[in-house]
Amino acid sequence: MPTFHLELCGEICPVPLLRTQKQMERLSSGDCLIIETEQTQAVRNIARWATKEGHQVEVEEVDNGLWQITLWKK
Amino acid sequence: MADNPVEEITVGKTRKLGRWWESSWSLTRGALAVSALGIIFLAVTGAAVGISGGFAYWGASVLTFLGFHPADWLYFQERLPADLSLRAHSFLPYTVLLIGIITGSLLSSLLSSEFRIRTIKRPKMLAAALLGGFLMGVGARLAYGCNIGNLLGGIASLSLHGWVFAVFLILGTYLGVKLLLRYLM
Repeated sequence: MPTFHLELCGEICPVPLLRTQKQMERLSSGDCLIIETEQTQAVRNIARWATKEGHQVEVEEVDNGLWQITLWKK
Repeated sequence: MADNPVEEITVGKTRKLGRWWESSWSLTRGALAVSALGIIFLAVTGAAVGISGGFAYWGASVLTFLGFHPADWLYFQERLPADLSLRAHSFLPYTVLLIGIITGSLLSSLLSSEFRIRTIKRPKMLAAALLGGFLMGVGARLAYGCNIGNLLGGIASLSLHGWVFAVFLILGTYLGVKLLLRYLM
């Protein structure tokens, strides 16, 4: 199960969500995407969008204000 | 996730109260809180909330201190006449509001353990942010208010100009997102 990384620290909304959506399009079902972001709202946007699309979502707060979102494409 | 209430882990008495400030408030709750503060500010000071005016006064008073004469500028003569010396009291409500908003935001991020120094990593993005910020500043003073002054202050105090501002704010944001998608992705 191939794992991809998306390093989005320093990117301002709405870039994280848009880049995530683009990257997810390129993945095949079952692939894993690990996203790193510092934007609070981006975490909520991405999690909400991914849940709506039916992907599996896991969010981990790695440090103060730094999140790692893991998405599994459905 | 974020929209669910924060799980209450009972570890000693303090946790039982729930870390209410850490859970993300719904839009409604946030709007009500902000509106209430705006109304209180209006009642206490007689002025609508706004922060770009405060920045303008402070910038001008710093310039005055440095020996320039912004008081002679048309802008300050016609629209915002004020004592522009550094020690002037005429813009005290704005100063309090400025400090309050910045402190409040800082407190909120510290309390929810989300405080972090975040830098812009791409030079293109940094340039765009600086240019955008500059344009926003000019726009705010042309409109005699930023989004706080015109929306929270203007619309909330039932002034029509707030709505005019809102329409153009939306149009401008739409344009901005188009530019972002095209040049900054």
